[in-house]
Parts: sequence; structure tokens; C-alpha cells
Amino acid sequence: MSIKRRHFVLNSLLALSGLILVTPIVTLLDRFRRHLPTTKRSKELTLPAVDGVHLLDNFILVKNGDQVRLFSRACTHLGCQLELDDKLNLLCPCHGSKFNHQGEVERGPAIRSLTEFRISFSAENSNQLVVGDAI
Amino acid sequence: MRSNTQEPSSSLTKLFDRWNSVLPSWGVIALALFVLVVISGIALIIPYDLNNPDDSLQLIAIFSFEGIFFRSLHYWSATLLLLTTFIHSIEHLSRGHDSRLSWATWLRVVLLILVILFLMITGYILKGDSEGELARTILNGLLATLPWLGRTLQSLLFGIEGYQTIYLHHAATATIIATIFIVEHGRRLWPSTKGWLIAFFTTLLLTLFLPISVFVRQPLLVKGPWYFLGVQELLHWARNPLVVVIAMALPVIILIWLPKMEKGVARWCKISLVTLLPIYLLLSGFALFMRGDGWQLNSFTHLKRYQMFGGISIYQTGKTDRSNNSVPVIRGRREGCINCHHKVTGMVPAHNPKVIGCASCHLGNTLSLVKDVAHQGLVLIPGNLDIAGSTCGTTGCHGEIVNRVTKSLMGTGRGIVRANRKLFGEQVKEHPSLNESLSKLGSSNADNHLRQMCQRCHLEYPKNELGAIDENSRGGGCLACHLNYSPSLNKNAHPSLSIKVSNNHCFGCHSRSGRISTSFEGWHESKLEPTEAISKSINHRLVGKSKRVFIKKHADLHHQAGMSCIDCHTATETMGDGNLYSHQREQLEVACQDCHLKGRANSISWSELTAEDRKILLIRYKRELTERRFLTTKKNGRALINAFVAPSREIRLEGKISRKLHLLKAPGGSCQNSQTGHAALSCSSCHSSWVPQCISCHTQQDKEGRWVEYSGDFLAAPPTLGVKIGNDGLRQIVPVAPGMIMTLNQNRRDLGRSNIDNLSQDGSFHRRFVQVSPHTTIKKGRSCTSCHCSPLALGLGQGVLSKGSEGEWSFTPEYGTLRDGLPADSWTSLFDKKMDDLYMKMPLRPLNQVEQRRVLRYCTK
Repeated sequence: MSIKRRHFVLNSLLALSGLILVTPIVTLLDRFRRHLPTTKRSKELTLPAVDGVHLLDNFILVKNGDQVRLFSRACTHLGCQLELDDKLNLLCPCHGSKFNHQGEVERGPAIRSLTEFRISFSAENSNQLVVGDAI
Repeated sequence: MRSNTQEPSSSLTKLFDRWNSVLPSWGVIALALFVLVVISGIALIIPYDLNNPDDSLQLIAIFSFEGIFFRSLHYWSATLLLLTTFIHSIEHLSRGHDSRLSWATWLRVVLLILVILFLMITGYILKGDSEGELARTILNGLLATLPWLGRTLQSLLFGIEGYQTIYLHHAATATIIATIFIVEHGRRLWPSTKGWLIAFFTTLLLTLFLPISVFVRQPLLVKGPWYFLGVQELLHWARNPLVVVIAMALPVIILIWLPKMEKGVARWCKISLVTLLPIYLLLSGFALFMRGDGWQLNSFTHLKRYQMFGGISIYQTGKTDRSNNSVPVIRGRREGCINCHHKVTGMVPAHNPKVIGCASCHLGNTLSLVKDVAHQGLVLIPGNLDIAGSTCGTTGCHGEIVNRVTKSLMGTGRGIVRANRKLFGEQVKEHPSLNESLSKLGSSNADNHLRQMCQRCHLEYPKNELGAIDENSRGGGCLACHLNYSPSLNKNAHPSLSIKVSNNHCFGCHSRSGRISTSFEGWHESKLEPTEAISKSINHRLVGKSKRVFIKKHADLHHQAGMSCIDCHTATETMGDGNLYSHQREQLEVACQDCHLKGRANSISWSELTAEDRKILLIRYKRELTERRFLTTKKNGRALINAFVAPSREIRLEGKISRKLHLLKAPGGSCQNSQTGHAALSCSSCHSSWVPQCISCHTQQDKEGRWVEYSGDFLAAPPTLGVKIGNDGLRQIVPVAPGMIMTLNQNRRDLGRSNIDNLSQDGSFHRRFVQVSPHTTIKKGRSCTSCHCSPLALGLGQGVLSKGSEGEWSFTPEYGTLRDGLPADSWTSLFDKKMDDLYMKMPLRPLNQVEQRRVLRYCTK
């Protein structure tokens, strides 16, 4: 019995030492993670000349006359960068999600619509877009 | 812990027994491969640059065949290690070793497989290219589905940016853990000699014959490493990625728990696991072979582009001094082309090879200094539209324009395709589509006809030979308009690709059919034989290889003033604006009134121009033209970038190439305050001096199915007047010419024994007049009599129009009647109610009875 009790005490202490080590490690990592640099997005974009859908850096810009909408280029499934095919479909090269020009899912696996950003026009140059927050 | 019970020997164990009796066990081979992985990995430490991994691999590919060797050795030994590890694991399971080891030891064995997988995927990410980056994005995306720890695991295992974390794990943490586990598991540090030799020479063969190159990813398709292809396929199907994470974790959990299970359950689990493996391999094979762009089903066709093995030839590396890091970085990649072709001159500044390299346009293998290797996959003529998406239209260059051109009328010839199909009585959908193109013709009679007669006159038709664009040229994608050869072409001179689009560029195609180019320059095609043309006569011109004879006529006023085609025609109307149109008039945007203004000019400032317009002006003028206000089109408000209101308030047009300044005059007094009845006249109905007209032709298929055309007379005369009813219901008088007065015979027949008159008796008869833009502008309008007393202007054709003593008009045609009862060159007949009824609902019609009488009332001949 005494041996069993000794085992129990020793094992508990072992578990405790593990917990004391692991918990701060996890919190430490988590704290540092929040300060890691994230992918930089360009904050100013040049408005393309003609109507249609345009891939600009990390963004998808859809222009229809005066109407301009700006979406994130990251697929909402697992984050791959979307591309345009020759029929102007927005396709994910990794798992085949397809989005329409309103940012809505046309074909899975993605479920959520693309993130859309607020935009404003630069005061000096009406062709310069300033990217705002996600809507 | 269960007792050491012997598993019943299965056919699988017998198979392994047989292997082991001759060759070293899979475990020993795996150990040998691990040693090989470590050695080749150590060899890569120095050439691999953690801060710029992709670039360091490119430098290896260019300069170091040893580097290519060790990279390939590292790749193949690792790949074989993973394979042998799986086989070794199956052997273990089949022999029931799981039940013999202590659970903690077994746990480490299972973890070892995971560590090897982790080493593989980190190696894949460490390539540092966009493919590797996407793999990291996906793995981090998968980890993000895990609650609480997910985000932390992302930063701990793969890192978010940079390669420090991953490199540390790949070269140290995971390798050390794997070494400890392997040594503990195998109880040996070195493989047997036999095991080593088998592992070494198998890897060596693969390394020598299938060395890996630096992979260039296709934008629309990314495939992970082969062992993760099955997961990628599953992720395509699973709406929630967590399901896939659980599905991947499940076999691992089962494996770990195997020794703790009841014997029956354990056996069942093992059979399931071993069965899952081939299913997973099938899934991976499906993903590898059957998935194309956008992960769509596209069997095999994309495999050619999905190349990661360079072939034995890539071992030939440059003999350049390797210490001299001389291969330039162009658009983010090393480009060896320049090392040989640095003397090339002749390009415009934006296409300077020092800026965009050679491969941006000509593709090929940039990571080699050996001619034959570097020229693999080279595109000699990159402007053709079938390849332009990867050359001129590549990301960051003219992608948007290439996209527009491929949809435009000039790109596809869609207008001709649709009109021709309608003529042949084939079905044409109401809305135009991308498939209606001269390069995507089917096998119908209409399409065969076009294939033989018209297919070359559109931009999708490829340019197949080097050389300047001349009057024989057709097609050629971007080159058709933008290729310019310099007269002093030496060995190192490259033709330039510029925005200097001269009339000669348009001439090859536009000297045919409507013959706009020739009319503009004042040349009318005749039926004279080349031998009949007086040699060196200024009144005759021989055009093209077929030596068509043209006769001098009145040239367009704008041509006489030194203007060229592109001085009026804009970039968006020629290259398209991204919309699918089915008719030229829909795509055209300029009109006479845009420059010859009646009232105030609609104009915009420099800052209101589109980015593309400003870019073109900056290329031409090298400065911002803020002092100008640019005129805009009435149709869609797009800027005419060379027509502007100068600071002096004068309205001017500047030649895009000539830089010659022209004063833009307002329409004459009689145009501005038109007399009664003249308000509906379009500018060109009055200001055109002549238009080429072809009277009566016949198109017939011969016995072999070839289409043969017979034409009637060619005529240069002032245009006929037609009435166009616009979409807004407004009536306008426009110039009109015979589009086709022809018999179309779709039956094959022996042409040798027939003559044209006989042929005209069968087949379908068509009489169509079309609105034309003659491009033979004259300053002074047509005379009163040229409209009011002309049977041609009225649409009656040539002949004598006379007034009887009773004041009644009669017409004697010059040509005999055709099958529809009208003379060969007529559109309508005089005062004929039947004709009024026939044309009543058409958007373009001849003058009706009332209008004919009204016109003739003012004939004062």
C-alpha cells in the first residue's frame, strides 16, 4: 500500500512539475505570437482604368463604372491567394473554391464570403484608393 | 500491457519473410536512407541562405552541379525514407510488434513517423517559393481550426513569416528527436553494408536521372507534396477543415492506442489502417493526375506544366566564375539569359532587358547559363494571343489589356463569325459569347467557309515567322500592332514593342473587305491584272504578295492632313473595353462630333484621366500634361488623350506619332443650322467622296469542299443613303454600301463545268446593304445633285433616272435583274410599296416611297 501511495505522490508531483512548466510556456508563446509581424498590406492602390475585376497585390478590386468594391484576396477556406482564370472567375488554386465578383462563394469548399474593405479616395488624386478597415 | 502473443502469420508476413531472406529489412534500408538524408542535408547548409531561400536555390541551379546533386539527393533520400518508413510500419503491424513493445516505446515509434512527416513538410516549405508559402498558409489554416492551442502551435511549429522557426526545427529539433527515436527503436547507429548499398544506389539513380529543378508555379494551380495530395483532395471536399484534421488525427490516435486494445479490436483496427493506405494513395493519384486549374477535373492536360524534375540536362551548369555572383535578379528571380544576351538593344525603356529580362516575354529556363538548357521552353514569338497570357499579359505587365483583347472584336472576329453563321442559316444566340471566335470554329458549313476565307484576319491568328509587320501580315496578337522593326537592324538589335502603331500595322487586315485602310489613303481596288497596271505609275499601286491592283482616288482629308489611324481610334475601342460585343458599332466610341464640336467642349483634366491614359501620355511626353483639358467622347465619356483644349482656348488635336498639331474646327455653317430635311443627316453621309462597292458575287463550294469566291464589278462611287433607326427610335441618314449581293451555294459541285450565271440559279440568294464609314472624308459636302438626282444615292443602283413630260420619274437600270427581281446593284426600287413593306421593320432600310419623292422634289437637273 505504502509503495502505491508513494507512486501516487511521486506521479502527482511529476504531473505538477509538467503543468508548472507547460502552462507558462503556452502563455509566453501566446503573448509573443500576438506581437509577431503579420503580412503587410499596401494601404494605397491605383484605381485601374477599365471596368472589371482586378487583382492588386493582396486585394481584389471590382470596378463597375463609379462603383468600386475591394475584397481580400485570401480564400476564406484556408487562406490561399485567389487567382483569375481566363473567364474572369475568381478561383482558389489550392482547393478549388470559386467566388463571384460580389465576393460570394459560388463553389465550395469555402463557406464564407470574401472579406470586404472600406475604401476612400485620396484627396490629391482621385485615382488613388485608400484601403480602410474590413467591413 | 498485453502479453507477448504471436500474431497469426498472414500472407503479408510471408511476403516480408521472403524479402528479408534475400535483402536487408526495410528498417535497415530506412536507417540507411536517414543517414543519407542527414549527410545530404549537411551538404546543403552552406549554399542554402535562410534569409533568401528561393534565391539561394536558384543560384545553386545556375552555378553548382554539386548543389543540384545534393539537393536532389536530399529530396530523393527523404522521399524514399518516407516510403520505406511506411512499409516498415506495415511490417511491424503485420508481425504484431505493437503488442511486444512497452507502450511508451510504441508511442515514440508512432511519434517518429509524425516527426519524419514534419521533417518532410518543413523541407517543402523551406524552398521558400510561393508554393512552399502556400503550404505553410494551408497548414497554419488547419492548425487554426484547433481550439485554444491552434494559434500558438502555428507560431511554434511553422512560424508566420520568415524561415527561422522552420529551419531550426528542420535542421535541429526534429532531426535530433528523429535520431534519438531511431537509435532507440533500431538499437543501432549504422545500417548494414547491404542496406547502405541498396539505399545509396537507388537514391543515386533517381538523383542522376531525375534531378529536381527550381519549380515555377502556375497561378491557377498549386499541388502540395505527393504525400499530402490526398489531404488536399479531402480538403477540397470538406466544407469544414476541422473534419479533415480529425480524419488525419484518427489513424494516429488508433496507432498509439493499439497496444492497449483487445486483441480482436486491435486486429480489426490494423486491417482498417492497412486498407486505408491504398485508398489514400488512390486519392493522391487522382489529385495528381486528374486535377487541373482551380482544382477542377482536367485529366492529364496540365501535367506538362507541372514539372519539378528538370531532366539530366540541368546538370550542365555555367562555366562562369562562381565567386562572381553575376547573374542579375529580374522581377524577383535570377535570370541567366542576360549573361549571354546583354548586348541586345532596340527595346523601348519599359521593355529594357535590364528591367524585365528576356524570360518575361520569351520564357525558357532562366536558371541556366548553358544555351540548350536555357532555351528549353523558349517562346520565339511571344506576342501571339495563345501564349500572351504568360508573356505580355503576365502578372504585373499587361494582363488587363490581354484580357480585354481576347474578348474584343478585333481579337476574336466575333462579328464576322456571328454574321456568317446567320447568313448560312445557322443558329446564333442572342448574347455574344467567348466561344464565338475565328480561332474556335466548329465544323459547320458556315465555319468551314470562314476557316478558308477569313480566319487569318483577327488577332488570335498567330504570327509564325520573324519579321516586320507589312501589308501581307495578318494576326499576330499584340505584335500585329505593336511590333516595330528598326531600319538599322544589326545582330544585337531587337525589334521594339511600342505604342507607335502606324497605319502600316492596320493595313494588312484593313486593306481587305471594307478596305478602310486603302480608302483612307485614297486607293481603290480594281479588277485589273498586275500586268495591266502601268509600272511605277503614281496612279497605280500593287498591294501584297497577290499584287492586287489599286487605282488612285480621293484620299481622306485627315490622311492629307497627316493624321494616322490611331489619331482618331482609341485604345479601348481597338483593344476592347472588356465587354463582349457582337458588332463593330457597339465597340466603337469615337464620332466626328467628338472633335468637330458644335457647342462647348466636354473636357476633363489630367487628374481625371484614367491611370492607363496617363501612363500612355507619360510614355509619349515624359511629363504630366496638366495644362491641357482633354476632350471626351459623347458616347461614353472616355478621354481622347490627343484632343484637348489648349490654354489659349483653342481646340487642338496632336498627332500621336507625328506630334503635328491640328486645329479642330467646328462644323460648317450649313451643318450647324441645317436646312429643313437635313437635320437627320450624319456627317459622313455628306462628307464622303466615295466608297468601294462590290456588285454581285457568288460563293460556292467545289468538289473538294473548298470555298471559291467570284466577284462582280468593283465600283468607287459616293455612298448610297440609308435610314437608320437607333435604339432610341431616332431616325438618321447614314452612308450605306452593298455588304453582300450574293448567291451562296452550300452544295459541293464541279466548278469546271459550270459558269457563274448557272451557279447563281441555285443556292440561297442574299441582298444586304450595310452602314459604312467610308473614310474618304472631303471638306466640302456632296453636291445637291449627287444626292437629290442620283439613283445610286437613292439605293436604286446605277442607271438613268429621268423625269417624264408629265413630271413622273422613271429609272432604267444599268444591270440586269437577279433572282429577287431587282437589278444586280440595287437595294430598293423606285416608288415601290412592296419594298416599303419588306424593309419596314428593319433597323437599317432604304428610303421609302415618301422619302424618295421628297428627295427627288429638289432635283433641279
